[in-house]
Amino acid sequence: MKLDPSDPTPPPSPLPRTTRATLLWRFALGAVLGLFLHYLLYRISLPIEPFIYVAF
Amino acid sequence: MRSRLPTLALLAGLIAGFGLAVFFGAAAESYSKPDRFKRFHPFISPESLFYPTFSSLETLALARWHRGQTLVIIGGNSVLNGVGQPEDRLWSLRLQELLGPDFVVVNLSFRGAFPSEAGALVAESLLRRDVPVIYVANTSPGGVVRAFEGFYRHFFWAARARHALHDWPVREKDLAFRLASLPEVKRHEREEEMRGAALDRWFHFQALWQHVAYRYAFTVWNRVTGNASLRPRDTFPDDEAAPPPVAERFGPNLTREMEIVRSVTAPLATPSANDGWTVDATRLASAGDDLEKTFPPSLRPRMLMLLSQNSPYHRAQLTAAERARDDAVFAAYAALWREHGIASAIYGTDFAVEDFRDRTHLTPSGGDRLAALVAREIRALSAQNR
Repeated sequence: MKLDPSDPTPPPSPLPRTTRATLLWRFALGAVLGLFLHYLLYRISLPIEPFIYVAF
Repeated sequence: MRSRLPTLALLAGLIAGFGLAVFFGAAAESYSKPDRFKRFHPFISPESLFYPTFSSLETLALARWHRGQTLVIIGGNSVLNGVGQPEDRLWSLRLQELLGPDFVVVNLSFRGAFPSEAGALVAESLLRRDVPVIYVANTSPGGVVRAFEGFYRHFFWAARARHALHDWPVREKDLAFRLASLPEVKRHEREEEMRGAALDRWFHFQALWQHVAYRYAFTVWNRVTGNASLRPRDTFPDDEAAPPPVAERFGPNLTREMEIVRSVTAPLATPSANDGWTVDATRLASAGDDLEKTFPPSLRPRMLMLLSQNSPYHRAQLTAAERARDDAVFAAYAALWREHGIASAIYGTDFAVEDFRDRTHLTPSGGDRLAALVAREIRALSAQNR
């Protein structure tokens, strides 16, 4: 691409491969965390002991 | 902008992961397996930390029903859950045989459940959706525990959060009153349970992870499953054993068992002048009030409440006066249920010793007798409700 000498703003450069990989890995990590958060909602609603050992 | 991209990617992944879980949870709500479902045995019930959802109970029932049939929902406790009966001799299977194809019987009872819990809520919900239901449960003489006060109250919270139940101001007022009467710690506990149910309505976490626990892997160690805790629950069999020989059934803990037998009716009646018994009117009225606030009027004509007598072996250990008290109290409470529009029947009084596995649970032969009685009552109820 030919640079316009009168335009001081540098052109945007495409994301390097390492940055794309980082973003993908961050997204995947976020997805796992999201799934884990969903699991936590289930897990915290469970009693510690089955009620039958507490009540009987 | 670029320096924020990794954070935004993380956030986008979080939302996507959570959203995907919600999506699969919503799909799991309509899971109607297992095809071979017969009852909630200990490995697929809260006894072992497996909590079937309210939706799964509804779906289990609906998946087996076809238009033109009457759906018979069995609720109640371990007696109707068939403790003492191996899976292939379960009394509700015999009931299905006796009733024939015009009815479909689904056993939604749980050990330790009260008649207002689980199956009662499913019956109410499906009746509201114009499914012809008959609800059968069991109890003892005495008061009626509310659906939001028992071990299985999570079904009530879930059904309420989903607006599955009748809009019934009497119950809402009763709930508010009884919550306000609780000690602070218990009240906060209940409020947290309600909040959890409200969240679950939108995020379906119970449905998804119970489904995973059932099909793929359970993720919580517990005493009941022990070293097999991680196994998926559909690999656990219904291992209810056949009852031992009669001679071995009733001896263990007889003293304690007889205390229980006497305690069923002793608080509910006082000796009267003519060597008879007077059933305590205050307790009777209180039980009537419980009924009025627990079972919605639309469900009552479609209910059968079984009053569970103790085994003949244990009743034979009572004095004549104690047996007379038993008879008087059972008769009075059976009449009470009927006065409030709910059919009731006492069973066990004319059963044989062999029909009981212990003080209260029935053997396969006892289950067959119970099925015959219940089938008669259901036919009568069904005719009345046409």
